Amino acid sequence: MTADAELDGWREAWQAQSFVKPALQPMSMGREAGGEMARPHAEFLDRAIRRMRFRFWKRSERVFLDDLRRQPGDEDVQMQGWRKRRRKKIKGGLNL
Amino acid sequence: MATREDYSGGKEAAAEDFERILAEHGAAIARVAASYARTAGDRDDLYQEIAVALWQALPSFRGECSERTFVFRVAHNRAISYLARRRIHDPLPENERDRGPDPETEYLRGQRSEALLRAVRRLPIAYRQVVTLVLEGLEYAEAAEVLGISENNVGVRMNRGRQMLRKLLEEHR
Repeated sequence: MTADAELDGWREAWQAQSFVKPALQPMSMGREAGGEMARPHAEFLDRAIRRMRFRFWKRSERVFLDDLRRQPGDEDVQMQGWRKRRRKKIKGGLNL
Repeated sequence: MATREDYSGGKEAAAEDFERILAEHGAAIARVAASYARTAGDRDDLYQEIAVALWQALPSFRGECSERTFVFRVAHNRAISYLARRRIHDPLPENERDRGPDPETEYLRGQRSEALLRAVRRLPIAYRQVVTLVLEGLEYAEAAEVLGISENNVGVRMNRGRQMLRKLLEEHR
């Protein structure tokens, strides 16, 4: 089998996969429409974005509080880079 | 090619553009999500996250690249963020990532696509990105634009990724 034929075969197998399902739509909308899913709309998407931001904020807050709880004399743990950056971001005023 | 004006006609127009983009590229986005997520639930979550990211990014699309390139760039960036987050909050040992049958067993069962997906998931990220884009039918130049690397680099990664993929599919033969 040539390299191109092999790649074409993979490509065909890859693109034969189908995972798409109605997404980004609240379940109730589909039910109200008699089983037919309503199209995604701006308000719902905005709400989804707000929820994602809130979850991110909650996680950031928890990490920050954990850092604050560390007292002098506690075991010295090397702070991970991502935690440092996130802490800096929170201290800078949660500009999400 | 779409221009910035096409995406700044208010929320209703944006929703229509968004709907069209999902209709055209939704299947490809889902496959990209599947190559990063371990379970169907994770895949759907990631798909949703990519869709939300697209919704957020759409107003800033300036038409400097093709819409397809834009969509794949957003999808891959979001997928990388998803992986980074999963490593922090949901660590999983390497040897527990694939609990299903090995790729070759599934291949022999005729589930070629599934075996291919499992093998693609095992590729290192740098190769997986290029391989998924090429399997989606992007040219090297387009893949380079999506990933922000040179066309030559895409070629190198693709060759290595292809060798690894072949090995993964054949190692138990």
